[in-house]
Amino acid sequence: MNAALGRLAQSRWPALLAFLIALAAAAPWLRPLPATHFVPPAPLADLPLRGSAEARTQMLPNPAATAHSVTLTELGSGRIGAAWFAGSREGAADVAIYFARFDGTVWSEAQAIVQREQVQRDSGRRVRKLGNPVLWRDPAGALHLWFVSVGFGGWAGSAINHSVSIDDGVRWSPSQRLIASPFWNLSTLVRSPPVALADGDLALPVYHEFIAKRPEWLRLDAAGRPADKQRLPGAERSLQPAPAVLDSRRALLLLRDASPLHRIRASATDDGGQSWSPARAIELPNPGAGIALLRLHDGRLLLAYNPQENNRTRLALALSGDVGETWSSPRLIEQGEDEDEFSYPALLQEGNGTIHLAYTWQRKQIKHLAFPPDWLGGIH
Amino acid sequence: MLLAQTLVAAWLLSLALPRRRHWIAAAVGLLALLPIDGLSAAMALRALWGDPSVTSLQLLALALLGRAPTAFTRDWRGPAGIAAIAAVFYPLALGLSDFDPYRLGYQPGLLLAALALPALFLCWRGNPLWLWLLSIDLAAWAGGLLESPNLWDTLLDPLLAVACLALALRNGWRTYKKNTP
Repeated sequence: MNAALGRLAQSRWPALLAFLIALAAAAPWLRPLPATHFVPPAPLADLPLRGSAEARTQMLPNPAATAHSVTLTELGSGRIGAAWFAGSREGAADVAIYFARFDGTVWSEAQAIVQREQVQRDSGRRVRKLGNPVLWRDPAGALHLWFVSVGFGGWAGSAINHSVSIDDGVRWSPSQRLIASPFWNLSTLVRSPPVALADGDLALPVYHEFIAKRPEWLRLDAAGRPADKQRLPGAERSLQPAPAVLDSRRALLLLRDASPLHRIRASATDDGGQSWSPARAIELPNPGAGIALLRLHDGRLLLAYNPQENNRTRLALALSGDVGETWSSPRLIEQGEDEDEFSYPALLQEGNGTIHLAYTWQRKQIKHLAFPPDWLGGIH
Repeated sequence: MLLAQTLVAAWLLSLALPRRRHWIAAAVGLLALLPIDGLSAAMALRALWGDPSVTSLQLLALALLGRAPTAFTRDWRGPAGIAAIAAVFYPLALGLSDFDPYRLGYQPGLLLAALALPALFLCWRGNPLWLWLLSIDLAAWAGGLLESPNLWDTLLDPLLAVACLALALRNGWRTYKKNTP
């Protein structure tokens, strides 16, 4: 038996036959992906003024001592959902991903939807800590959650996991690990929601941290598996790409800075994300902190960011009416001092025009502002 | 793929055992699957270094069966080639420059052509080992054996690269000593 196997392994023709069979099996996946483009945003709309131009402020219910990295999504029927990570401290073993719903008036109780032990079982791997959730509702109404987990080491050792809910976040599928890096799958992180592509695929803005920080554009197929990944050119030492789709072919990415420049960087595409322009620093400062970008229904871009170079003591909004070429002066949302921290914003605009801003408040809670678009009228 | 971690654990153990007691190593490797408080040694190893490539699995299985190919046990050229590819590939994939070779593994027509041509040439010259390795890798990739849809992860992993570097140095030194009067 052994000798027969040995003879087989040393013969040319069986090896060639095996190769041809394997090649035939693999052939459908060897060709380049067909070009695609973005699902275009809704047509521009001037929505009617709704009541007073006041912002309503609330703290999200947080069952733990710390909270960070909130993400928002529409749930339909006038509701929105939020997810964030919370625990005794960032990186602790008890950190879980929490989820709550907002019915337009109050937030529901927070529910732990992802816990470390469950991710350990789902992935078949040791999991040390959880972080950065991203929520997104697909056109069919399914809710997607991506989040990072770390097996060993710090955040640079993160990998992305994906889970789905078809009942607006009540029950979630076991998480699937996305393999997006060849070196022990180290260091692919997520922070901003994906962009829908016209062929049913998604593009998830991700970033790499181990050895070099680099933003990347990860294309996922309809089943949520990585199908392509490209690195943004000239974007070393930046991370956490925040996308805004302008039309079916054009989009803008703003990037958190990790260089001594302390400036937000920008990259753009005009071919549906097939290629991106080299990242360039824009005039807005950045202290190495997360940002959020949103295309409003009226076509303007809304940015939430920390408008200084050195710390996260202030949080502000800015508007651009020329697709990010110039920005308004900042409208301060929070103004603290010394050790205060207001950071990691998330933005969302509902179909009825209401804009939602949520962010980390002092690393202890998640704060939420809801306001009509005309509340932004004071920004110039 | 937790089973794959037992192969890696068994192989590492076999290196330390006297006279390469492979069957003892394989049995002890299976213990890595036992969970303690929800976590097994195989899960910890998997979190540490991910899933081994299918190339590694093939070579580990052959090594544990006592049939490791002489291209790896005696020759230095094959292991040196793999180590050299890894030495270029991993730094670039980890962000050394704007070019990311990992992208070539998603729709890997070009990558496959670059590997198949030398494998077919060597097969034609009477050495089908590399074509066998590539064929089984390719079949496993098409069948979705690994979690990763990227062909690079089926072909190569960092542990294989380190092992190949060690084999290339050892076998190269032995060849040098043998050929030096």
